Amino acid sequence: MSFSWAPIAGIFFAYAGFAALALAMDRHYADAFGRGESPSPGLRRGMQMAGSLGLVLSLAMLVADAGWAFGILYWLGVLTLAALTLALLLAYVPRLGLWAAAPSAGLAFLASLLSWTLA
Amino acid sequence: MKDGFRQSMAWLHTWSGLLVGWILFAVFATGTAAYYREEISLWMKPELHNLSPQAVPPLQAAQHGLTYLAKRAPQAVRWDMTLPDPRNGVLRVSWIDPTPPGEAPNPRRRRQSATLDPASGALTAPARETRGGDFLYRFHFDLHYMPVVWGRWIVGFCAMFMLVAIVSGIITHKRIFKDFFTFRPKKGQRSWLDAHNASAVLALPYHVMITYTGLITLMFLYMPWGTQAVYKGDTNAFFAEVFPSRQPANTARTGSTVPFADLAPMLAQSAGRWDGDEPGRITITLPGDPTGTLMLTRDNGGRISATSSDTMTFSSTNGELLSETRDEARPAVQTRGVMYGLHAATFAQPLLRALFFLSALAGCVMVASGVVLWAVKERQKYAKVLAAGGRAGFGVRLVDGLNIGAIAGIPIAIAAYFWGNRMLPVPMPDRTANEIMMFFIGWGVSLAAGLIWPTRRMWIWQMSLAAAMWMALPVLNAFTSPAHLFANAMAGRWALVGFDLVVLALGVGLACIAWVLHRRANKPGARKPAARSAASAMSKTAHLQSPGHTPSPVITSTTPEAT
Repeated sequence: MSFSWAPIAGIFFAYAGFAALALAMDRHYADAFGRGESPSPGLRRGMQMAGSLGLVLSLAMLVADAGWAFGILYWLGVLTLAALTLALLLAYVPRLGLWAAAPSAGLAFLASLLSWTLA
Repeated sequence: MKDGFRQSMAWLHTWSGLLVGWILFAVFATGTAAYYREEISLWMKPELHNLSPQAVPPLQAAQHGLTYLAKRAPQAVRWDMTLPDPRNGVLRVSWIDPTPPGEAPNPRRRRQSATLDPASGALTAPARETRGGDFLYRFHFDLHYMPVVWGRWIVGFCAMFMLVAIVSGIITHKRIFKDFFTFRPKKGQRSWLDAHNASAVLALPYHVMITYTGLITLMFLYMPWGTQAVYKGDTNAFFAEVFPSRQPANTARTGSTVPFADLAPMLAQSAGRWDGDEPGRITITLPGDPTGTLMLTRDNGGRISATSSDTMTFSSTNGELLSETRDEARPAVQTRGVMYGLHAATFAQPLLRALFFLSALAGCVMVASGVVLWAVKERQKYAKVLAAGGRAGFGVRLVDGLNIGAIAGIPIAIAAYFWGNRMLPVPMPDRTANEIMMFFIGWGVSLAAGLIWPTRRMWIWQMSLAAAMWMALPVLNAFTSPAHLFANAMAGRWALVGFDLVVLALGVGLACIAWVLHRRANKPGARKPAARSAASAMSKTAHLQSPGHTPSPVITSTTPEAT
């Protein structure tokens, strides 16, 4: 098996996507910005769109790399990995867990770039 | 339906999960380990640790195999070679000697085998007798110390309950999306429910897949009636038709001996036909005879389905392609092949295997937190009795004991199996059986102790013991194998490095649980002798108060970790 950057991109896209979705939820938004705070409707909508986009990009990277059959398998596994990691971080270091979305998205784009240029 | 649909489903979920939870945990934990059965088998044969981890090209390995077999078994009617792959570095060869005149042919009895170093062609050092990872794999669906068919029926029964528990659990869970990422630690029953929900929901596709496909792998056992009706009870005819055998027929030798054709062009031809995939197996009939054949069987690592593989058969004397079979399985057979392949992860990708392993660990946590949750909830009914110094009901104590015996007992049992592998003398009679007995001694002692003293202290002791046994495995390996963790890492023996790191991580996980249990047991308000009573009395009020103030103790607590 040769090394590929695409699964790395898939993992970080999934994490960034889930973290954005979590930021659109009252409970996790309050974890980051203090009790009783809730996201504005615009931010909520934006985060939901960005989060969904992250999950779709994750699927796209994995399917492009491994084909539909294995790509979907990878994707489901990657979603579990990303969501479990996020849930654990939100339980103990919620701010860090949510803010990690930004570098995670950055890494995802970087890895996507690498997987295209090195392919 | 007086209670409403959701309540009915909650009842169903509770009981279908609890009744089979302990066996399910054992099945899940050993099945999780079985994803790495080749690596476990290698770890359990330290005599083979010195093999070079460098991949050997199939041509070179096959030629070494042919050389060995030509010397060792020139008269055999058939040779088989299993070529090394990334997960299994040795070259396995076997041969079937001709049946002496006057005896009934019995190829199975006449088969002999040897293990070669593919890089040098030399016999590997004789390895200790062990079932290795295969024991955990077989236990996962056959259990042990009972006829295989019983084990499979028991496991199938549990798997069916599991499927019921999954479906009813999804219906019962009111806030799948609202609580998607929610885990609130240190809140007693609420934390157990969160852990149960998170480990179930976040790996749900895996749980559904693995339970359903698990039933499918043994469907001919569980649902034999269709076959029996159509084939009038002749199931062998059915299997011969559905899974056609691609073994070349044995024919009689002509008597003369000719040299082998060059292997390289045959391998080049197969690589061209199979998108570059390598053969996983080579079968040679009547070696050296002018009518002899050489069959290459495609390595299935690159696809999900585990149906029969493509083959190419050549003449072993002139290298001419005689026949070729492609996997032409009909849709039904192909569907079953995909399900089987998904369940057993017969494909090769290491990352995907790791992701399956992670989801399977989540499955262990799901089952463990589920049975613990029952005990935590049930004990609250006895809050007043316990506060007065009484005992909880028999049911709660029984469940507590079984929980300890499963959730701490299985990790102890698996670790005991690994320890037995290294501590039992190598030239021991019945060594394989004794190693397996270590597994059951570890499990039996844990279960008996748990049932007799189903207390929090027992949880702490057993989790600490399990943690120590797991964390010490890399140390044990350093003293009882040719190389320790760092030397293996330097030499690139990643299978052994991975084993050490994973058992270490699991041991640390078990230790964290033991530590959390210990710390909470020593908090004011939850001290002996009324530890459990105070705990349960408080747990009712705990989640009414603001979080962080009361150290809301959990009553019975457990591990979310096992393999």
